[in-house]
Amino acid sequence: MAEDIAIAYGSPLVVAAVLAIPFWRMLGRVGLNPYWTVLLVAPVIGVVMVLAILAFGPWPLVEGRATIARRPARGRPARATALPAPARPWGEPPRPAPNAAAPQPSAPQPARATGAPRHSWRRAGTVVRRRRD
Amino acid sequence: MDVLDRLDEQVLDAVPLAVIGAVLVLVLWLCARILRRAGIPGWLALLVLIPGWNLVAVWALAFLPWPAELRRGRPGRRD
Repeated sequence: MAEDIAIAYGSPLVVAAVLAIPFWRMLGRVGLNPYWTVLLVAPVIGVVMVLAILAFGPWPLVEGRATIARRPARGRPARATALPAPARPWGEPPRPAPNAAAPQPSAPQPARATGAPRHSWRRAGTVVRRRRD
Repeated sequence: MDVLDRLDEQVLDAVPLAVIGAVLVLVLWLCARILRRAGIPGWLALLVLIPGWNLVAVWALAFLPWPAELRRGRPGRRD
């Protein structure tokens, strides 16, 4: 009886262990946190959750950061061919209208480092590991 | 594996077929979406349904270069 229980509940863990290595690599490859693989310990729901994270999460290392804002909220994802990497992936600052008055310097704007991306899925302080090319 | 066969029978008895079909469709849709984002034809997600080859497909997807990566000039090899 105890062996039966061990086999019955051990086999999902074996499947999870076999799936863990490729999912770990895929998540790290697209720029997501590879520790999402831990979800695989849940027998069926875990695989669905990891697949959903891969399918809907941002892929900064493959698609670039621009796809986070560019991808349509609903429907099919944009094809990878239609996503050329722009020179400034975080987007151009909004231009003032030609007839608009000059903006009044009302309050001191908080200085943001040039080149810092506006959107980031990572928590502050996370070290982004770049792929070696 | 007699134990696993009995477990499969119990699962098939307990879970209605509609739920199993819904989970299968969900997994297929998610896999097709992932493959399309990687630049691979989405109908290859049907490989997940073949019992032995789904593991081969997952490992191949993890370790072979993706067209979406190659288009960015970033080959899928880490070594």
